[in-house]
Amino acid sequence: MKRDVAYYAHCKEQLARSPLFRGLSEALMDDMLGMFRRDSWRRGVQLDPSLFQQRLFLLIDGRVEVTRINPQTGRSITLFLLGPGDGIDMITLLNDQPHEMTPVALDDVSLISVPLTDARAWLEKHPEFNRNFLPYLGDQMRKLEDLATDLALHDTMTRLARLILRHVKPAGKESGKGERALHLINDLHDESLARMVGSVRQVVNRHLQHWRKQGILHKRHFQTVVTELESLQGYADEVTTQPHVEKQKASKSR
Amino acid sequence: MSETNSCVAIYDLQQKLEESLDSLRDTGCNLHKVSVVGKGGYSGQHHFALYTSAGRVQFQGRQCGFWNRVYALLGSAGCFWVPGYGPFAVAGPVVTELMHKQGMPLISGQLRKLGSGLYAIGVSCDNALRYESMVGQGRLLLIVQGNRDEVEQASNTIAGTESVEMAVHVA
Repeated sequence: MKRDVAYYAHCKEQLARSPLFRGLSEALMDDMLGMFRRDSWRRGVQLDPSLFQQRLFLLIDGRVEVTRINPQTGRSITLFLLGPGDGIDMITLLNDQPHEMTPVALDDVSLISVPLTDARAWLEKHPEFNRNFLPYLGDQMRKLEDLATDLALHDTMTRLARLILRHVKPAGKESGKGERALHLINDLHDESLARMVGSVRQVVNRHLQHWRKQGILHKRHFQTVVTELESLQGYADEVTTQPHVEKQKASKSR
Repeated sequence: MSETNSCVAIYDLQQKLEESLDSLRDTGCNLHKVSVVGKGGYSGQHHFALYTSAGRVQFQGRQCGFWNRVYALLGSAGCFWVPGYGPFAVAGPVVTELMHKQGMPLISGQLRKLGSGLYAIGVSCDNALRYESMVGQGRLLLIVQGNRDEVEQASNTIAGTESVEMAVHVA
């Protein structure tokens, strides 16, 4: 990618915000970006997994849902929801094995890509990148661990509450009236949320309606915001949350 | 059915684009899947015409040499005039997309005919707008459509040429 293009500056800016590239030196970023090619995927496109055996993709704008589908039943589960600055299928980068997964573009997506062999050679040449890369991989593993644990140990309502809490934007980014905005999942429809918690649309819709009626969640301009964070936390902490939440509400009103 | 994978490269000089076309031909790229788009050198001061003579497409305008060579190489030829944007010349299969796919105004209302044609071949709305603007500034687009392997191969070839920028679009 050439440096004089406005997109180059945009890429650097977006990547510098992500945990994978935060704090990297200017020279290292330039050296890396020089190898990349610009790509774009239209919203809704499903990518062939074999593509990721050849190239490493980094997201610049938009979101990509990485799913795994059971071809017999058509059921699917979302393994990762990726946003700007994330790498797609880092597992293949590490072990070069075929990887069964289907990335789907949730928005019109801008990316940059590089052949996997070049990416590996660059990683070997720049071990200092591991200071960011290893914690990033650790974070990805932790997300998979959370998903597995949630599926095995919690009911759908708890899983959904935990999912929403994991995507609440940090304090200080309230949208007003103490409302907390959501990151990445803010405008996802119920079907997508269901795929993320291993459930079905109808069940997720029922829980979301319930929370909206309770004033825990609110939808404004097609964006979901959390209005009662503590109450949602209550649902995430315990399976039988209703009394707990009511208790919290009561103590708050006192 | 039109191909919705494409590789789009931007050139600021006709000569560099012609070198790129040569490279694509040398590497076995099917030139029936390659298109070129540009303003045709139109600046409001010169005439601009496209006609057939003795079965051959002829371009008249400031860049007639370049466009006549491109038309001879790529087959399909077209010139379009869009209010507020002016004329632009197209060679290759994108001509067909420009003639038949005009659904874009429903999506953003911002794209003109050229953007609509680019959107039809898999370019996202933002990028279609950007390419439209690049052509408006006098730059040339080289577009290769095809399946994933064809587009990958073309992008590898184009990467070795002196394009201003290059991107692969999948839809």
